[in-house]
Amino acid sequence: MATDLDLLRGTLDMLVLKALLWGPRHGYAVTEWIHQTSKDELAVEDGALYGALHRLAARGFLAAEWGLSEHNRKAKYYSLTAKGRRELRAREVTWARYARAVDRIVSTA
Amino acid sequence: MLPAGVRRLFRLPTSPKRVAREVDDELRFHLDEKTEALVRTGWEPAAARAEAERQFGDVRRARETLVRLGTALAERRTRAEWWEGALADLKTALRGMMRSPGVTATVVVMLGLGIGGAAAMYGLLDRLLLRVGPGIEAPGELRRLYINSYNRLEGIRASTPWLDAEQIVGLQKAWGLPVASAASWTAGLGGPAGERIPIAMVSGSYFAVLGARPARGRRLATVDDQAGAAPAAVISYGLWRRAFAGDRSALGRTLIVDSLHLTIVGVAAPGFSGLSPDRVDAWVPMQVAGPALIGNGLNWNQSLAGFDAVVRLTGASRPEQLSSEAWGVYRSHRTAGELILTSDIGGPGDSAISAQLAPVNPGARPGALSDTVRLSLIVGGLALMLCLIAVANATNLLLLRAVRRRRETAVRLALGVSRGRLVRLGLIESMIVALGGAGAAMLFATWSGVVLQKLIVRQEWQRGIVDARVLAVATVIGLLIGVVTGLVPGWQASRPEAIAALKSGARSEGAPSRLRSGLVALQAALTLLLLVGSALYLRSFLHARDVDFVVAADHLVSVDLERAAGRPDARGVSTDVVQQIAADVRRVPGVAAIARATIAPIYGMGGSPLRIEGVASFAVGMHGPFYSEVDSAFFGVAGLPLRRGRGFTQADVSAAAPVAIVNDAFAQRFWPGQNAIGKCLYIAWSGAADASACRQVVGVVSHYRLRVDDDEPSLSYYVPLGDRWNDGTRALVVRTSAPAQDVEGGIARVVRARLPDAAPEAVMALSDITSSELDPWRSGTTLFALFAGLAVILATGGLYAVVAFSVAQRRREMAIRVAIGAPAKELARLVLRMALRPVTLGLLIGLGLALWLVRFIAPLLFHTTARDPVALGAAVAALFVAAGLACIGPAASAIGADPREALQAE
Repeated sequence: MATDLDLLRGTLDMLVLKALLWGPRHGYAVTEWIHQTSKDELAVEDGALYGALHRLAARGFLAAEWGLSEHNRKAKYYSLTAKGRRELRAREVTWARYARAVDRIVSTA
Repeated sequence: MLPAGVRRLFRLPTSPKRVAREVDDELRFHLDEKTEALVRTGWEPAAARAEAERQFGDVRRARETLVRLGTALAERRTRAEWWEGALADLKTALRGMMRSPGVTATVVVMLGLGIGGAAAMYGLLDRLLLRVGPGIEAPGELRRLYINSYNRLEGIRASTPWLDAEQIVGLQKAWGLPVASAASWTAGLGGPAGERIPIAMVSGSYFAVLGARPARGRRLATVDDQAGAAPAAVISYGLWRRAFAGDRSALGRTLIVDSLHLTIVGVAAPGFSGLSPDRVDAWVPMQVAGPALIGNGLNWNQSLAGFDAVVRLTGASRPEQLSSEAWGVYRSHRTAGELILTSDIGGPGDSAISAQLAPVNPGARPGALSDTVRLSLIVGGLALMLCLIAVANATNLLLLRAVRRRRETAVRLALGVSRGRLVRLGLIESMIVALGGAGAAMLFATWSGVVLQKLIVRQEWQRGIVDARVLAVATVIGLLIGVVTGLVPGWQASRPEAIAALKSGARSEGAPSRLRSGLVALQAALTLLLLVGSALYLRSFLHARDVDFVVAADHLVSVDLERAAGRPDARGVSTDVVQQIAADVRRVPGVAAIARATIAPIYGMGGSPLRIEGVASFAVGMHGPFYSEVDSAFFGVAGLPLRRGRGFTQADVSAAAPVAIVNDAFAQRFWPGQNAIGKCLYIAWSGAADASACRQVVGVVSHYRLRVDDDEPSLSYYVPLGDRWNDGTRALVVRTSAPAQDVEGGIARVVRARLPDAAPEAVMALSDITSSELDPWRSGTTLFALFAGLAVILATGGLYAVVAFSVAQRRREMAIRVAIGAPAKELARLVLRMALRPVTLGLLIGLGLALWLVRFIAPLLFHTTARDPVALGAAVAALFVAAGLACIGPAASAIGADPREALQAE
């Protein structure tokens, strides 16, 4: 269902953008951060996160650059662009409103 | 979109291969890190790897998605970057052009002039030589009847026969085929405007044979073209739009031409004018319109001999047989006397020898080219040359600019700008120039179409010379040439050698390059050709203008009373009316004097049976002897001074002793070395009492020429004009104090007040006739002068550009020369030598070409040999003057070179 998929994708995108809020990270670090922060409660495959990373980069929300990892490996680092920051803020607001609405409905006994 | 700078900063991939490699690198890094992290928490390496892949999901599918995303992104970026680069190049190009707006404007104007002129000429030649007009089906199957005639001067010549309606009917019968025939006619259009429109009288099968489909309604058919048929007409698309505002209800309405009321049954297709390009506003059936327009009193179907005959060949028809049948019809309708008379008069007589059928497209017309076509071919050649000059100049100027910018280009190359990018910059620059050039070409083509129509065609065509198709061709050629001229300099500038320019400081290259000199020489050669043509035509024109008509044509107006009376079948005008008209004309402001004659000089000529004292026999030829009856005022009014003896007096009319006056040429021809006074003429005119009576010559007046290209003056003899004119030919000869053309209108008004049916040509300033005789040379001179003037301007500009550039490049050298005391004369000579080398080369080539090419215009010249030394000398001199003018600026700049400034500049 398209709406479900859109919702899921939108959520993924927001997670990825959020992961980069505190500075550039490579893809592995982004996936690790999401798994750890969510305490692995979101069963998201790493491949899907990479898809989100690339999509966001193509839309100009992220900039990508090759660099060296902590273990001196060649790694592709992503960082938020100004546009990406604005996008993240907008999505957080929408998400909060959405979550509250759903919560209100669900908690009405 | 990422700016190009960001892409370079992050070294993002552009090729699909690199995209895939980077995706692989990224995925491998992720899986390696994950595996290591798991191993650190105690996993077996193999199991850790498997767990990492499990957590990742379908690696192969993910990889495909990422590669697809990456490739699309890379493509988008490349495209964006290209546009961005093109935009930057556009800005650079515009900036560069703004730095030298003069060069850009000149290049645009040159391309416009050259291509526009050539396009208009193409339009003209296309119509005259190449194509049958629009709306005609399969013109290749159509054949026109020609009659071959023999002429001592030109040999065998094919011409369109002037057939009358009876012959057309005869042809249709003999051939058993429908024939398309048309004769043009001018008729007054009924309505408030009362304008006169060109119409065509056509055979009933005209439209069917041509396969012309009407835009509205139906075409004329055989049933319309029968005596007594309901009068029908097809009008042109143009008249439909003009007179009926393109209203569909025009069909069925009445079209009034002269006294004829026709029902409009159809509207021809847009632009359709039959086989000739001349304007036609309506087509009317000849059997219906002929009797009405020409007059029933006359035998109309023999008196209007203006029809042509066109037939559509089908598989079964045999052209030879059709020709011989046509010849039979043609001969049987010509009286034997007519054929003998024309070959007998001693001049270059014609006698028809056979008929032939030839294709209708203008280029396939048998025999020699008409003067219009020949002049058009010459002018077409000239326009092409001008186009070449303009293009050569444009290229030269752009080349010079490219060289001037060589340092800039070298810096770009050194900064790593690719050669392709430089060529693209050149291409964009040239596209801008080309667009400007194409626009200018459209404007100039439109304008020159109008000029050519006036100067060469000299009549109105159904469609203008320059139509949408010609404009489209001009635009496309303008774009193509603009791009090519722009690319050559761009390519040259981007050559790797350009790098050397950085080191040498762009001050080498003393002499202009071979290409540039070559272009200048080419221009000089073409300009010389055009100058020679103008000079030859100007000489012809001056010679023709100096031809002594003797009759003061610019102050004479002829009133042809026969034409003024309206139709030729009218029985003439009563003496009372003539006297009233004469009195009215005398009162018109600007009229000085008035005389009566049977015919006005130059306007026409008359004849009568004649025997001359002391002359056994003579032939009447193109130069007379011509007969006129004139009143006593005639010689004074016409400006024919008396050489010997006396003029006519009032007494001569009624005197018992008949008298005559002859002109100089008459006296010299028939009585050479003798006194003409007192000789006898025996004239058998209808009013003469006795043809055997001696009419004594009492005076000799000056002679005049009938036509400008007559080699000899006409022979004339005059007898006194009685008060009672007993024959239809009669004229008033009016001498004006103001130029005849200005008074003509006033005279025409008073004549028309008495005779409302007067034909427009009844009142005519004689200068109209003499001046139209000069037209071929006048328009030839104008055309050549126009093109030569343009060529001189273009070539001078081009030469100036080359010399000025060379001087600027050698400024250091000039400054040093000034510093060590070179006199100004020496420097000027140095500059002049730079210019003269290519110009002299061009001059030699041009002179050789001119001597070879003049044969094509030789037959069109008047009393001027094609290798006229004065004309050639004048052309050469003009070219050198132009070259000298081009050198003034650069020479002044060389002399004024300041040693300090020039050396500091480096």
